[in-house]
Amino acid sequence: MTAIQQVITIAIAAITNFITRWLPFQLFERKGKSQGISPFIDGLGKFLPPAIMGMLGRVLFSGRRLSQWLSRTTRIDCRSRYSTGSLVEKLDVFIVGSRYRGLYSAGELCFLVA
Amino acid sequence: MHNNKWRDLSFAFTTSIPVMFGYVILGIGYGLYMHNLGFSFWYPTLMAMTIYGGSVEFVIASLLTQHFNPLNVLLITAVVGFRQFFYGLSMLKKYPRKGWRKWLLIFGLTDETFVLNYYTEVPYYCNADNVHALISVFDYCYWVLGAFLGGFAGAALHLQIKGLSFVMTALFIVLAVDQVKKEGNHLSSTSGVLITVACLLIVGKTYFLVATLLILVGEYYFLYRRQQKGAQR
Repeated sequence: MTAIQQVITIAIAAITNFITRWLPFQLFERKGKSQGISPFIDGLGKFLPPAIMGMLGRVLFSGRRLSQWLSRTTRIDCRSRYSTGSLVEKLDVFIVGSRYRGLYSAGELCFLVA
Repeated sequence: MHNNKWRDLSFAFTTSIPVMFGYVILGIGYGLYMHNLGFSFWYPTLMAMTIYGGSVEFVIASLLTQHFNPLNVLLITAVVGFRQFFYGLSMLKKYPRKGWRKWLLIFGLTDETFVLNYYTEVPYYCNADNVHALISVFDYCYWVLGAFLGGFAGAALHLQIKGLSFVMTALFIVLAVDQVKKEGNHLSSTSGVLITVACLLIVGKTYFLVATLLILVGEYYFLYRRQQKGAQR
């Protein structure tokens, strides 16, 4: 690939990626109308986030496999030793847990399971 | 006035701290990956600045080493970025309808920024639009910084800070548990997990996000129709 082809590749990716984020605003925002968004789209927008959290949670848990793959391709050990429970990881959960104090235990639990 | 802006800034920063750990470290991993593919540090930095989407950037990095195929780039980016369409859908009412902030917020709508901006309850003394915009800007800076560091000095850095990226998983779990505690029925969150697992097994890693989202939309359509019929009776 020449430098120009690389620039075009990156530009296409950047524009397409932006369009996927911008399209719903263009399609479903009814400008100038008082009733706002249609009830179906509004309901869908409220129904999806918890499901997306479940979906992304699943993706993140497979992140451990990603780091193993990365360490294979980059030949550098970037695997976190989740099971041994290093101090750093405890600290991670604590940082999050302290913002949402009541839920600290949930983070701790996830730490133990993962 | 000045005081309020300062409050917005400090609230946005403290909210974005878990993403800071996650993004800088993931960004370093990404920069390092591109470094090992033989690219100068400019590539990961510029791609982080322009594309700004972790999973898309990883895929494009490997495409850059192959033959030039613009259509393929477009299709792959659309498939990988498909889920972001639904983030916008959920943000229609939360994000401002016009002004420069709108464009900034749409550009910054990544997985983590979406989750933070959707679920964070902005305190009454802060301006929600400002807080959302600032969280997006912070997250953007973390990612670009990480990609730059990874491309520039990744090999040395990565060994020092391994393990810290776990903070983002912790953030998701904490927010998810918080949401499950608050919600009236667990249909959406349960279907999210179950359908994702089923799609991963059936459709495989490449398309499972697209399949999951389409099935979820179908499920909501079914529920919506049933609700409409119930209301008519």
